[in-house]
Amino acid sequence: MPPRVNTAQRRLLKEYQQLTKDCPEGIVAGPVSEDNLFVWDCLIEGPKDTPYENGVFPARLTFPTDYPLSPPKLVFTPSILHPNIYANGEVCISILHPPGEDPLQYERPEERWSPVQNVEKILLSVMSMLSEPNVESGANIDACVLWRDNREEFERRVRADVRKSLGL
Amino acid sequence: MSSFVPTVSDPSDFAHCSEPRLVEFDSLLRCHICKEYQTAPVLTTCGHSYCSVCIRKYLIHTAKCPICSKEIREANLQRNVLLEQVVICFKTLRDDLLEKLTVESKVDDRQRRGSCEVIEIDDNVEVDDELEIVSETKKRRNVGQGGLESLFKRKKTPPKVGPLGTCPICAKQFPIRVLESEHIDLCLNTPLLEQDKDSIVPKESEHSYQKLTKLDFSSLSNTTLKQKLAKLELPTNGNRNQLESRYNEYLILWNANCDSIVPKDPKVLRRQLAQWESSLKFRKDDHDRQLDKKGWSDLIKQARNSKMKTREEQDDAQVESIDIMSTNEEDDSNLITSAQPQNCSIQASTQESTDHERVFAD
Repeated sequence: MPPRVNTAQRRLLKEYQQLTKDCPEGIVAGPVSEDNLFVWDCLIEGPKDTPYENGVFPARLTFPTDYPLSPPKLVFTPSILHPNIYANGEVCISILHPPGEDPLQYERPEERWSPVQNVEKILLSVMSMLSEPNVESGANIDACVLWRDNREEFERRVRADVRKSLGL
Repeated sequence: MSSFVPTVSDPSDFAHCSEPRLVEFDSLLRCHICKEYQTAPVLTTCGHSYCSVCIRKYLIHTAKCPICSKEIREANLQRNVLLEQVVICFKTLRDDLLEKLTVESKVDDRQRRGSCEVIEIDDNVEVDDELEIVSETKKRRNVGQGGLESLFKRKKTPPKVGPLGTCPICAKQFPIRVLESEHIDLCLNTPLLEQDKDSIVPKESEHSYQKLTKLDFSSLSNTTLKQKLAKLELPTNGNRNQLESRYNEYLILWNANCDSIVPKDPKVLRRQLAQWESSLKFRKDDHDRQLDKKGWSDLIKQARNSKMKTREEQDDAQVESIDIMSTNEEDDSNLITSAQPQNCSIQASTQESTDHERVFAD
């Protein structure tokens, strides 16, 4: 039986269609299978002039059933070393957080999730997150410390991740 | 390409026609939440417009405007009648416009390549863009045709809009495409007296639908709640949670429908409600694994209770929902295959992926 096509699925179809027509450079994304539009695979290219350069990082987007009212979740598989990515690969940036949730008041409401955002904007934010980590609200404390105190070692380990991501 | 565009229409459909600026116009008429053309649009106190259903659902979630994050309240939403008329009008014209502008741009291509067969097709030009007309004049003069005079003639003749058909309801003539895609629906939904003789857009009509009020469930017994649902001709099976969320969903559908200038029949709303409920069942199957222990035992308890009480009722309801599903199954699978333009598995390298995009662009 095909899944019911509801608001969330229609919107995901539209976003998918738009991304296939006109996709920003360095990003590929689409549903894993047509039976389930709520799980997408993405490939994100490491931005130039960063230690992530030349890397191609796979990630998985999981959409809630009430998308776009609630934001999706983005997990790098495997995880990569970055101050704003948890050890389990989950990305922690403001655009993925609903406006109500911000116990520490780090994020301005206009930077957070609202139905006006979309997959493309999320992935672009992730690319800019890769080039400019935000250690103020870090997710991976070890990575934050390493980034702040020993940038050389941080970049060396990231480049090792990049080589791994390319299967070298 | 054209086989899937009409099913999941998108502003970028205009990107390759002779007036790509229509992409922006098209996207302005869409709701920021569902990305469809706005249905029964409402205006917030901060001046933004959304489908009534979409924003009502979002406000339950977060009481802020999705665009500017100002605090807004459901009670302050106002109908946006003019926008709804503009949307209906544009939706009606869209396919024709798209077709013509695409034909036109093909003609322009041929013109650039120096072909002379252009003049006959020129008469199909519909958009009164001054720049266009000036350039056309030049071309005409170059070819040695009637010049300005013929231009004036062309302007006076009404634009050709394809074969005409007669609407079975209001007996007026419309292009068949418009008739099939939009007009008959509109005509069925609008009282005859309200229709303007020459207009595709229905006038704002006074309908008799009254908005429903929110219920204070804590002070309602099961029986009263069921009576309320029955009064609205809604199913009364299921547990307390199901009854409450059924009422709440219908409340949104109903109140949003009241914001439209062409409100749908309550029957249509009840069908939407049934679809919503069956999509909920589907989701539940999908997310069973994520339930924790407490969730499981609660569910088992619920299931036992409700099954004992309402086995027969549920059987009836199932027959009904299967009915609805079978009618929509084909649409759904069309929609999905159509959004899957080609073999779209994610490519292993970005180089390959850019090639892939190019294939799509073609």
